[in-house]
Amino acid sequence: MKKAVFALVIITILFSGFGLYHVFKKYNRFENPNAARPQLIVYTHSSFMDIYGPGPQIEEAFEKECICDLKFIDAGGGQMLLEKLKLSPNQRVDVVLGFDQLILKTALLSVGWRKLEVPEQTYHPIFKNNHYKTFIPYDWSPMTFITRSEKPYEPTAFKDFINSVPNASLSISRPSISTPGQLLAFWVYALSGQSKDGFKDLLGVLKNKIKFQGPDWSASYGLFRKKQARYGWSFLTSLLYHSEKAETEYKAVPFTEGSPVHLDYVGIPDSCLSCGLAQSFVDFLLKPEQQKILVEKNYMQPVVQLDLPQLEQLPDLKTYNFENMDAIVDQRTEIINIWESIIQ
Amino acid sequence: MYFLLPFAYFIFLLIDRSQSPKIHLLSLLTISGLSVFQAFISSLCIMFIGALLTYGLMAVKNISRYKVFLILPAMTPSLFIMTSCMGWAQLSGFELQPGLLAVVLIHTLINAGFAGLLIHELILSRMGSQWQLARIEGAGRWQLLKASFSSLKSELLIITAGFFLFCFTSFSVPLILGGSFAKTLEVLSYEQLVLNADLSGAFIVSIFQMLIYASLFILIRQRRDLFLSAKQFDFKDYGFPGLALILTLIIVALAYSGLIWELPRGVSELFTNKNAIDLLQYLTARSIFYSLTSGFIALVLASFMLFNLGNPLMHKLMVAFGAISASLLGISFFVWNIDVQWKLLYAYSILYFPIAYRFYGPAVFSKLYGQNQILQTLGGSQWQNFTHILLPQALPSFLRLAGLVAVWTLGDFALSSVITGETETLALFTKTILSSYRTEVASVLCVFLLFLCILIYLLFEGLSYVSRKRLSIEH
Repeated sequence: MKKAVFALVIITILFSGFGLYHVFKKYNRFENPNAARPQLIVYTHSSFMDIYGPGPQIEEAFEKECICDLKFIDAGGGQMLLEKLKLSPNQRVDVVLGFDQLILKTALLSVGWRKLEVPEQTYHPIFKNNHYKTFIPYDWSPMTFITRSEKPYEPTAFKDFINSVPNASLSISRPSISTPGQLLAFWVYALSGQSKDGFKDLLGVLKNKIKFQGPDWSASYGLFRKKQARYGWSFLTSLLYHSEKAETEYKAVPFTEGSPVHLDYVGIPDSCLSCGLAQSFVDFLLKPEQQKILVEKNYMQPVVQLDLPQLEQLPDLKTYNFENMDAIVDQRTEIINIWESIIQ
Repeated sequence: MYFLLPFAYFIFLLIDRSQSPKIHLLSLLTISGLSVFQAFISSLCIMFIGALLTYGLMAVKNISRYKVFLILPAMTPSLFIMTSCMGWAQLSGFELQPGLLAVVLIHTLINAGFAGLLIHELILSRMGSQWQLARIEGAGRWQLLKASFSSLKSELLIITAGFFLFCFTSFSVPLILGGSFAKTLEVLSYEQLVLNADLSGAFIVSIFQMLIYASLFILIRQRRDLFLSAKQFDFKDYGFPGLALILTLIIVALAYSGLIWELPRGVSELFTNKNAIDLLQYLTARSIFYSLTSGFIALVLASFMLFNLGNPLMHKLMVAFGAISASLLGISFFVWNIDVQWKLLYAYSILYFPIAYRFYGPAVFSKLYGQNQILQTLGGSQWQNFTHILLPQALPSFLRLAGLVAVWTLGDFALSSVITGETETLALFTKTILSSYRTEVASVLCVFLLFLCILIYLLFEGLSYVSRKRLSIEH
């Protein structure tokens, strides 16, 4: 016993030393006053910057082009990211990647942003809907329910869909804390004619069909993939991932009203230090080569016109055009409160 | 000061922004009631299954082979346990619907093993000698158990309060499986931050949470120390043979089968990515560093508490401090402009030390308080009393406390992800992998993390054992 404990202590000391070495090695590298290369700090979300995401490839390619150091930092998403920007105005950030359209208005009011220049090239029609001078979309995807099925799903109206699916068969993310969930809530609200009573009626039916409301997309879609639910609310482009893994049984549900669209935006805050480099990064992100990486690693659709075989395999879903998204977003708290009171 | 300093700047920011809270009082009171109810039911279930396990452990000669498996669920990220349970539920045709039942079930699965070990140790240490005597006198099994549980009521209440705290401040489980009826104040605080950017509201929720817990602490007074003798007793006749093995197998199967099934695919996907292997080595070293350093800091803090044994108010405040909100703590640290390593270490100690202290601190305090009074009367210097008499007696318990903190630090991703955006630890890496489609790789990382948790746990248990032997702690 004593020998075992002694051995454990020695192993621990070795690991601690190894760990300390890595801690200070990293510390010194970051604080190196002799670093000749300019730095670019990019706030983004975890799935973008992890080793399986597009971040590492984009970082490598950009650093070669700009002869600079690009550093991605996981700042979470949505409101949390904005709060971090507001609470720490002196914390260095040059680019923010990963805002969705639901948070842009709040972002504009909370923090100052630089006007962006849009590179000249052929863009997907979805890009033309962008009316913000300070934010540019860099990828997008319709959102719908994904299911396992031998045959493609026939187009259906949303009301018919929720009436036909079995009880406790849907896995979604919670609107109160997740953007995909919020988009679902806003879409259902819009489909009800933006009437509170119509919204409550639809939710009354939907309530029995929902099995899980996960805290985020990964939890809810993960539960769907583990066959805990028959349908998962997700991006249409999830099919790109399943196709890559030869999982051909996954199908998207096309809605006759059209599916809501999720867009990811990039912006440069006024407080940027490497502002020129930041604009170069935005231009870089919109190049066809990087857009291809976003398709292959971020599993989202490009905002530029690209001919890729995997994109051709995606079903051509009709997209839903929100008449007045800003007005719906302004009612966010009320919509979510109604949702929470009915969907339990 | 050490525990309140991070909030000082945050409170200053709140005042500076003059942001009024957006939370409704009715909502706060409703969820407080639901949190208390859920925590109460969960802790009762945990203690019930724990008591059954204790009954089984009595029949086991050497429980050390069970210890690791029983304490493991408490170290595992709850998402994996939930997914595994739901898989079993589906197989058995039983629908695990989100709500109170699901939350209670998962909380019980996570903590019942630990509860069983604590109750087992409690009975042996406090009732060991009486049981030996009673056995000679011919007392029956049920007579003994009934008498033991009656006389250990207050100690069992203390242990139950510890699990109540855990369930009351639970975040991941009610967030995923709670629905509306099993929401906790921690989830409410998080929603205020994420949905409304309502920092004032989140702060108020957090204070409310702490007040509720502190009131509970005032109601439950500990009269004597929990664990006494380190002697080994043999009560095989009084235990139920095989029960411990059956319950342990059930716990392990329910909690981990979901991970095992995904391992082959996860391993092949992980090892085809060279960057992943490099990152894994790097993060393993850093994670162990954070874990061991947190354990060491916990040891120092516990020693500091012991040094100030003459001040019972400090001990009471520490026990009442257990219910701090992890989301709010994370945001408070995020706004500090210091290096992320020091932020994380400081934050871990604030979050985990009070909880661990709740399990071990009161016992040490009540045992040594009287001794300290006598020593001071006899005129010994505080430093001498501390180093020669008090610390040697407290060290075994403090090492176990440090071990708990170290293990929790190793598995933490909720607090870390709010404080830092960099992939600093293995747990954070697992979380980012979960956010992409690669749940199988996340399962592999989780199993590796569990393996490290076991190593760290065994290290501190071993050190505690050696210190007890060396310092000859006998009663």
